[in-house]
Amino acid sequence: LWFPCAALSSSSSSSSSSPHFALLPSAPLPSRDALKANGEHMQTCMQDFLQAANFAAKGGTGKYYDKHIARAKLTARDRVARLLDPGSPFLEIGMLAGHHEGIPSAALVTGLGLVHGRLTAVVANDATVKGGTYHPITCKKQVRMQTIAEKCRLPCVYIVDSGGANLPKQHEVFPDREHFGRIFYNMARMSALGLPQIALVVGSCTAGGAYVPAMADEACIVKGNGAIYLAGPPLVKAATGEEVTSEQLGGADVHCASSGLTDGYARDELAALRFGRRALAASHGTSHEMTAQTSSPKPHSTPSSTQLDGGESAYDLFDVDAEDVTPHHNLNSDVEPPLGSPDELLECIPAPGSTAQLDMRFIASRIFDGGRMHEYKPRYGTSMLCGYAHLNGDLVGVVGNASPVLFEASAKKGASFIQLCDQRGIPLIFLQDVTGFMVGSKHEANGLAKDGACMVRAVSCATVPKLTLFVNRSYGAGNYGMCGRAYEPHFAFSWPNSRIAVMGGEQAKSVLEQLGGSNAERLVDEFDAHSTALFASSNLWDDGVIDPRDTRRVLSLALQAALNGTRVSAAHTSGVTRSKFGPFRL
Amino acid sequence: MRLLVANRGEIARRVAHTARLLGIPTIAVYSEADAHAPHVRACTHAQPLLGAASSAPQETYLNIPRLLGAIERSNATHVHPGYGFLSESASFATALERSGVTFVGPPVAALEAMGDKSSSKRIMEAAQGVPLVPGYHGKDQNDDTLLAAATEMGFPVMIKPSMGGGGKGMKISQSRDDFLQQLTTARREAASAFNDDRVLLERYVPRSRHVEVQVMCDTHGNAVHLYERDCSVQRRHQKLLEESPAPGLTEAQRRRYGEAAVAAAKAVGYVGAGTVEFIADADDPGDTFYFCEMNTRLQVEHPVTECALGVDLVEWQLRVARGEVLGFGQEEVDCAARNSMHAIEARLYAENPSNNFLPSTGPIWYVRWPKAREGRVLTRFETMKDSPFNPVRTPYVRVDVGYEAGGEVSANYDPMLGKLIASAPTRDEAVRLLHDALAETRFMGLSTNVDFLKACAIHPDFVKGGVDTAWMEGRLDAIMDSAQDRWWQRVAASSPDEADRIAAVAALIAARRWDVSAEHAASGASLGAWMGADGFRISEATPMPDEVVEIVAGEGVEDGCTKIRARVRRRRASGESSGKAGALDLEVVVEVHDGSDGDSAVAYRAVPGAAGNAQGADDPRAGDGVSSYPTRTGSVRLISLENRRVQVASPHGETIEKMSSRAYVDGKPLDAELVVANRGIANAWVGEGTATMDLRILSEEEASAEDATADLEASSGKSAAGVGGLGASADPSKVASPLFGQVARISASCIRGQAVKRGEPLVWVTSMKLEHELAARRDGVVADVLVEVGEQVKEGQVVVTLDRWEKVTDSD
Repeated sequence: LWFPCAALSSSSSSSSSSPHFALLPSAPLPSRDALKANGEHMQTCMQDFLQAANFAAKGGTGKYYDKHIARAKLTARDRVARLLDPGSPFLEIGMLAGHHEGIPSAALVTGLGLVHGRLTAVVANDATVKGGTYHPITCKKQVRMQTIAEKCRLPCVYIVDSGGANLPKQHEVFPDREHFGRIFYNMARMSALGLPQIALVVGSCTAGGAYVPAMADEACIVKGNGAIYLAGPPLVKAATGEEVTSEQLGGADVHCASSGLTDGYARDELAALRFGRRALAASHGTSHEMTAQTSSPKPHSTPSSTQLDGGESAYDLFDVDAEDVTPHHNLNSDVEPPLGSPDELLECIPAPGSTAQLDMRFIASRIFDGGRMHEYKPRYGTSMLCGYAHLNGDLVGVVGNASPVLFEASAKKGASFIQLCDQRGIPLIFLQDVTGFMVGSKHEANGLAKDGACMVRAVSCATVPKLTLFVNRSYGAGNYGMCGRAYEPHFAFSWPNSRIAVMGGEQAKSVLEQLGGSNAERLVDEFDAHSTALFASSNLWDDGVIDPRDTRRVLSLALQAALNGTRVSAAHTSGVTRSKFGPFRL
Repeated sequence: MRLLVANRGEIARRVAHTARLLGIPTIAVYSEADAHAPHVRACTHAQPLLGAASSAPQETYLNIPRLLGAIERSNATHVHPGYGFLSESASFATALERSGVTFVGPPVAALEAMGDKSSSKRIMEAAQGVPLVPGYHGKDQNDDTLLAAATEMGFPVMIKPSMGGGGKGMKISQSRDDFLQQLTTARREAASAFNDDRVLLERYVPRSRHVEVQVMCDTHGNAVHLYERDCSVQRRHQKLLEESPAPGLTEAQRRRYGEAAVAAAKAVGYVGAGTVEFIADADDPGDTFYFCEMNTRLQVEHPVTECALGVDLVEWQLRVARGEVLGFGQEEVDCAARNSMHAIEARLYAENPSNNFLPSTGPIWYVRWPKAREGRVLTRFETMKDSPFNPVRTPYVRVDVGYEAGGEVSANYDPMLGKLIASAPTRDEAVRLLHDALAETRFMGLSTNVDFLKACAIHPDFVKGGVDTAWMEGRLDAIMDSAQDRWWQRVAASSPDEADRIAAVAALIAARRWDVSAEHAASGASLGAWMGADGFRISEATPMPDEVVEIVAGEGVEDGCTKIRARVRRRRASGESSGKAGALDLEVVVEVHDGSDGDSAVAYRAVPGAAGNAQGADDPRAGDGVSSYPTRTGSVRLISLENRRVQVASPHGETIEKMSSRAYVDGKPLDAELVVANRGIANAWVGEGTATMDLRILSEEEASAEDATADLEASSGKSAAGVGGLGASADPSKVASPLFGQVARISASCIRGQAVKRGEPLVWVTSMKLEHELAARRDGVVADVLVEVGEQVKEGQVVVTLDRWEKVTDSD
């Protein structure tokens, strides 16, 4: 059936009433002046972010845009919006990719949205940017989107309008493991996994590009604008002397009637998009994801007891009679909102120059249901905040930096909490504000490196969904232990103020000044420019910069996508099998 | 501190909210009927009131031993009583004191002193600075002395028998000229009635306003006032709209009210939050006002003060109960008051204004509060900055509610559903905001006074401000009429095309309802956060484009045409006279062409339904016949804003499906919202902005069932307006209870064989704390009395049957 509305079922099994975890306590609020300064700093970062986003959103301008529109083509983002269900959220991935190279959105719009109520990965070339050709960052972005799709077990729709590899950059695009070839490798493997690969040819697919529809399970081509060939008319003429038009060489009539390369024949782009929707609707069948969806993690229930404890603190173990209260119905709309207002997140990051520390519990209380958390070892390894919370009704394990330095105990605490969550199938959310591990002879002698390695090992091998949020700083081995990009979080997002680098700016400055001599100043500036969130995002070290106020929304969307993967694949594909030991008490 | 909230409904949620922000664990108590009520979930813990035989208040929230049991089981250290129930009970406070638990409220002595009207008056007489009604209570009954005293206090003057009561023998003298004559009459009546001709004099206030002052006192002797609230808009002493600041008072006058209130509070050694009520002369409210009584609790209307000044009263109640010093002095309050907001509260009741305001009970299928700001009180951010006063400077609506979709309003408790509080920098803005908020409020399943309140809020007298307490009584009918003067009726009368367009949209969303249901059945997947179809984007730089939804109702439809047949008819609300409405009783045929440009070309034809022709006296198209309805063709685009299905927490296990859309009909925008409960009850609201029309959408079977009923009623000549009407039965020879309740009294004349006149009261039923009179609906003879005093009766249950009068007269 083809229906205009999204199949927005919300079966009661997905959401869960949160057991009454204790409220997250938070430190006293900073003074009004400090809040104002924090807010102003964040505003500056937000401005930069918005500017970059505007650049990315615009795509190609001027004659490229005019030419595109003159050919009755929609823009890449319009195509995506019309492919998705009305009102569907679109979790754009890597929007700022290519920003520092001046390639808006890396000439490719990628993201997740709903098609017939089914979460789908979308890849759309933007032909207004350099003809939609593949730069290194374009390749990286498409491979990244495919990685997400494979991990989350999502069908893929490719809206193709590209001139293939960017010739001057071919050496950086063509041969390596993560280059152009990987795209087709991924398509083949995902298809084998039962994830539909649909290509909609709305522009040219030249050379390598021709393999996208060819590798797809089903493909559709637009009469007139769509063309698929391994070599275009100029190359054909040069090679054999044959003179042929683009339409005659690889147009819709050729491929639908003669070569059989494409299945659908569309009179216009909208018809092609409709084909994409219908092809997906027709692919539901008895595919894996429809049959295996029962293994979503359930929140653990708290033991019931009739005796209340008489403690005074609001955040000790307090939920003994929570079950008496638990209503029988589980509503999404009933999920307790976080405390306070999300606007407060704009004022929670200490402005540069301030000696104040950020209050991670406060941030968590503005993100998780009811501002509640069941803390793990609240009195041990206190620079690490670990605990169970609910994100829009789903139980998650939160690993955050209560203060930015990791010690032996905090690393051990983090490692065992990650092990616990992994064993229980509880997704992990990392909230990073980390400047690294503690230094000094005492700590080396205590085995800090060994304890840190425990955490890195736990993070590496945990197979539950992992989401990383770069809240503020992410320096050194802290980035690793807290699930930086190399540790394959399912998704990673950054706040606009965040910074990623091998060390903090101050330390780097002193080191560079010692080494750099006369170049020192330039090196320091460069170091600084290379550690911003925008730089990180334009290199795809994360999946996007987000407005702090959207944190809960973005994490919820990402979590649901990630959970879809665990639901579908009972067996993990990463090669790591679940250990036969329970979590060690470190 | 572990705080037990000895209350239910919105106030329990309200208290829990602040406690949560302060990090104080809370314990809810609940009766069996409330086991799934929102207030239970608002608290961190909950205790059932064990051992109650029923959910009646006497057995539960008013039962001190059961509450003490819950307190013991939960180790509570403090108890917040809310309002109503035991909030002003000295014996409850005493019992708590004995068990070493702190009562969040005034000391027992203050409760006792203020609990008794005459004792409180005596204390206030002794106090300095509390204005009392001027009067003469002296022994000297000489005419001249009395006249002099009357002249001094000012006319009009009330002459009351000293020994009297209940208004007997009271006379009002308008001026010096008629004083002696009235005095003589009063004395004569007093002598004959009480055998004592002594009189006392009191200044008479013919038109009064109800102005009350919020006070807050700590245990260290500090007392401040937080300015006044005007609660003059009342219906039978039930406050409906409350506001602050009181219209028409100068700053100096407001301060005088406040000072008087502080003097009153100090006189009884008050602690905590309290309210001192004054009667103000409506002609001179600034200077002529008298102490009336003191309410020793947090009041229903306390949010008015909170929104006006930006202070959290519950926070300070809890702090004071913890022994803290009041964190602010009068100067700070004054300072906050100088740039205060204007706040107006409207109380929403489950009652039916068009049926004599009878309480309405039953399940709430669906509820939508304005702007989705439910439960927003003040965030920690707002309350705990440097100053305790921090009003939200932008206009906003606060929603304090105790019910949610799936809940049930039972006859056991107060029928107040909740409160909307609009606040804005000026009164005009606040009034407008309140009206809009009421217009956005939607209920399905119960009658409410929302439309009535909306009509009050735009009444010119109220908009002007400063009405007196009797204002509403004289204008009930007028307000009712304007409440029924609905936007859609005007539309239907002035522009039939417009009405058809609206009907077409309703038909489309009705059709989509089935599409979505079918899709639900096909897919079991759930994606949590992805279901809020709000078109979320990571950056505002990439907004969701306006989307075009194609309306297709079947597989394989591509170039052809799909027809959707839908019947849209408006069902008369209970109690409305049968002549009205019917204008939108239409059958709509929508033809959908799946346009290649993505737009749906829709042709719609509207024809009056079968019932429409029969009844539409007001229908501008009545009698026109089908042929005069040309097919109107236009484009309809529906943009889906939200679309979700939720399981509601109802004992009936309902599923509610909700869709909201923006529709463009011939380019003109309309908001459309559709709610479907799984028992085939469907409501749609279609309209522009805040002006909407309610529709009930019936399935084919339902529609034909209704037609059959209507035909039956029409052929037998009986009134169709039976549902909910007093008597609740089409047959006037049966007297039935219109609501669930308990038989309180049976008239002496209500015995078998007794002749009764039409309108004569026969049985009284208590429900929702009020007594309802069930009267004979025609002359007749009592044939059977089917109930006894104390018996529970159901809605619609026949209590008395009558025989025809003729029988008796014939035999006479």
